[in-house]
Parts: sequence; structure tokens; C-alpha cells
Amino acid sequence: MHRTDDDILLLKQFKSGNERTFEHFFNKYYNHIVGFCVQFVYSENEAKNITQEAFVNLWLNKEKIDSLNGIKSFLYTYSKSKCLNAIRHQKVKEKYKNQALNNKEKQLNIEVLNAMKFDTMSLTELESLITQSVYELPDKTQEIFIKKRFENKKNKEIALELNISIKTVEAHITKALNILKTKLSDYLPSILIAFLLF
Amino acid sequence: MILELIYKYLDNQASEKEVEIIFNWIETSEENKAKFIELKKTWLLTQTNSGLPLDQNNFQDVKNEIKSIEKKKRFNYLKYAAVLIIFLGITFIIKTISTNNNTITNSIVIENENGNINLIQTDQNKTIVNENGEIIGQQNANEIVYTPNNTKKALAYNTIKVPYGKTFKLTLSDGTIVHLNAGTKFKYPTQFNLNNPRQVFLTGEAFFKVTKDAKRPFKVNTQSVNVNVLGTTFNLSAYPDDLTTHCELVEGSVKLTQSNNPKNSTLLKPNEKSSFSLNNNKFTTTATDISPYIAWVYGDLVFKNQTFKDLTIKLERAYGVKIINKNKQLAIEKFSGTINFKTSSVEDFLNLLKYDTPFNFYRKNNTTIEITN
Repeated sequence: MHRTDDDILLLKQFKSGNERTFEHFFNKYYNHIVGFCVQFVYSENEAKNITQEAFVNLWLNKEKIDSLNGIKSFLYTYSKSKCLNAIRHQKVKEKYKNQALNNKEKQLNIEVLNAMKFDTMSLTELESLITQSVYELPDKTQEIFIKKRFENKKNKEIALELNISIKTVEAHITKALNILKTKLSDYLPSILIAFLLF
Repeated sequence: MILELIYKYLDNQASEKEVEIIFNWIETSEENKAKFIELKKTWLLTQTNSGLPLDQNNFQDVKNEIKSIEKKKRFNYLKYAAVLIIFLGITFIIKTISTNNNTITNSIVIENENGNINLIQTDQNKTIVNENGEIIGQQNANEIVYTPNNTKKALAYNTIKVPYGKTFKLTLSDGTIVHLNAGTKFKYPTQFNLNNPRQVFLTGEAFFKVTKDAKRPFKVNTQSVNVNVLGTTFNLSAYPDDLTTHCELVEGSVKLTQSNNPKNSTLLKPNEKSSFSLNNNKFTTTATDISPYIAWVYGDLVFKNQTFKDLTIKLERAYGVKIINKNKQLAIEKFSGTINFKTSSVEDFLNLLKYDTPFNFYRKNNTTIEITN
């Protein structure tokens, strides 16, 4: 999370066309972008396609990137617009038998995407805000939330690990999500969004 | 508990039944919807791992694609460089001409009698002067108010053109208020003459609130129908691509006359609508609820049991887009409802219709929307 001379060096190398640095950023962000897209297109394959395209275009536009957060900002902004396109052009997987539900979901997702801003400023400010908010969660809730969202563990694994019921795990995550939602929208009502702890 | 359901939904664990409950809850209020959107955003922004194993092939794929793009680019550069240089000059000229045309057809313009064209920027306020530099009116954003001042001189006529996707309001020098709908051409004198009848010319649609003046009747001329009034409020629609010219009277009285046959006329009472058919040159007058016809003045599009085909032309005018419908089923489907075209986009509207009749649409370019099955 802290800017160091190493970071500045990395960015310099990336901009000058160093492939190893590109690979470093690829490994760092690939899963995040796929995970983000999956939540809108509901197909791992389609999400991977969008992500690949985002990285290709990141490389082709590397001269325009002017900060480390600029890389993230580019990747998310690009994927966001590709997800919007996918929804509008009906490339997303239809999950429900009831067609009205599929349509409603698409409509909601368009609204969620449109409500997200990925400029470098918002990203930087929000990063620290989110970290802080997560570490202000009640102890138990915080522990479970971190396992779930940052370590990507299944509810069952967490329940087993902490010797509690799956229902309790779910209750803690629901609680965490609600607290975070309130905190984040209190601090920055309109400009949300960054992604935590890359 | 709805919160737990939403969490289950975000975690992709909710059943179809549960999703239905959530979506119904979202629809009960704007507040619920906003809450859901915040929750999904929070869920997304606290996610750091999609759970996929790192696969080295993924990076290789990206590298390969970059290589092939860069190769193609280099080849294309060589291939087209020569052609490009030759055509650059020509393209530049064509481009300049067409962008100029575009700004004119997409903007409100006023042409005076000498053929001088003024572009109206609807985000500004300014004083309107005539050829002699005398102040004759004031523009306030989306309307122009002409100074009340009757002249004995010959009339100077202006023609205002309002493109699709825009509306405008004029207050003429006699105090008559004219709302101009999208896709309308309206010719009017900047000052009315003291001794002569008042006369204006309309192609398209306008809503009039005519100031009473028994000595100087007010006449609106259109291609097919002329309207004679004293003091009154009415809507008049005379689009050249419509099959009828129609008039709806709010108050007072008007007389409609076929333009090239003064013997064919009809008198209209308040809350009556008269349609003049261009096919058989007949007036049909009915007492009806006229509010749907004048709703556009407030930015509303109202339609009652109208086919999508009929809606299309209204949407095209209100939004300034071309709609190509390739969905035959949808074309004959009937809809009723109201939308405000000042606050909702054409996409918002089409998305609403989709709930009723599923179809797909996409923006082909800035000015065209295509609808498919």
C-alpha cells in the first residue's frame, strides 16, 4: 500500500516496455479483473476474454499511464465499459428461467456499473478508507470477512476453521457488508469506488 | 431477512425464488434500489480474489495477441500510407463541410429575411437586435421574448428551425406565446404591424396561447390547413410526414380552413380535436381528452394503446434519433404510458418496454438505434 522508490522504478520500467514488469502487473491484477467481470457477465470465459482484452489495451496504451494506480484505473475502466457493452449486446449468460428476472438483473447491473468511478483520485482515496473501515469492524466479523473476501475462502471452510456454523459465517458477512456500505457511502456519498488491498 | 438474501445473491448462492424476492423488494422503492446498488458496489470493491488458479497460458495469450496486433498495424501503415496522403486533403474538406452541416441540423437556428443564419445556443442569455442594431428582444436560454412594440413599417419575417430532439419557446411582440415542438419550422414577424392581421407560418407542431386583439385576427398557415383565431389556446400539429394535420383546442374558438379550398372549413369548441386527412381532404372533429396531445409542452410523451410503430416516430422526434426496428412482432405490439423526454433517455424508455415485450436494441452510432428480436 505504501509508495516506495521501487514502485516508481516499476512504473518507469513498465512504461519503457519492460515485459517482465508487465507480467508482474498481470499476475497482480488478472484475478481481480476476472472476478469483477464475472459479477456482471456471469460466465468465466467471457470474463476472461474481457480481461485479456483489457491487458492487451493496457500494453498498447502504456505511454498514457502516469501512476501505479493509473494501471488499476485503466484496467477497471476498460472492463467496466466492456461489461456494459456485453450486457447491452446480450452477451451475458441468462441465469433464470423467468425472462423478466434476467432483464431486471441486466438493468440493475447497468446501474451498478454506471455508478462506479475508477479515476485514479477516487481509487487512491478509497483504498485507505476501505482498509481502515475493514480494520474497524468488530473483531470476529473482521476475521471472518477477511477470510471470505481477501483469502477467498468458502463459507464451509471458514465455519470448519473457526468451529462455528455456516449460518453464523453468513450472518457475520452480511453484517460486515452492511457496516462497510454505511461507512463508505457516509464518507464519499457519490464518488465511490476502489478496490481494496491490491 | 432481506440483507442476508442479498448477501446470498452476491455470493451466487441464491435460488431463483430468492432472487425474485430480492428484485421485488428492490422495486418497491427507489431507496431500496439505491441500497442494493451500494451493497453490490461494496461487495465488488472488497473483492480481491476471483479464486482462479494462476495460469501462465493466460499471460502468453495476451502476449500473442499484442504481437499480432502490432504486426497488423505495421503492415496496414505501409499499405495505406500512400493512399492516405492522397486522400487526406479531400477528406479534410469533406469532413469540414459535413461537420458544419451537422452543427446546423442539430442546433436551433433562426434565419432572417436576408438569409442570414443565427445559431441559438440554448445555454446562454443574450439580447436580440435587428439589422439596424435596435434591440427587439431577449433570449433566456430556451426561449426568446420579443419586445412589445408595434410597427407601421413593412414586416420583417424570421424563420426558426427546431431540430429533432429539441423544443423552444417564443413570445411574439404581441405577447402571443408559442411552444415549438421538435422537428418544427416556424415563420413569424419580429414585430407585428399595427393595422394588418397577424399572420404566421408553421411546419411541424406548436402550442399557441394567442393574445386577444379583436382588430387584428391571428392566422396560422400550414401546408394543408389554415387556422383563424381571435384570442385562444390551442395545439396545432402539421408535420409534413404525417398523414393528418390536427388541432386541439384548449379554450376560446378557432376556425380551421383547408388551405387551397376556403369553402371547406370547420369550427372547433374547447376540448375538441379536429383532424384533417390529407387522403380525402376531410375534417373529422371529435370531443376528446386533449391533454395527451399537449403534454409535450411539459416534456411528456403520452401514448394510449398505440402500436410501437406509431411510437417510433414520436420517439425519433423527441430524442433526435433514428430508430430502425427489425422486430416484426414488436412493431404491432400496443403500449400505453407516459414518459418525460427531458429527464429520461430513449434507452431508459426502451428498457422499460422490454419488461413487457422482450427485444434487443443497440446504438449503431450517435444517431441510430437498431432493434432486433
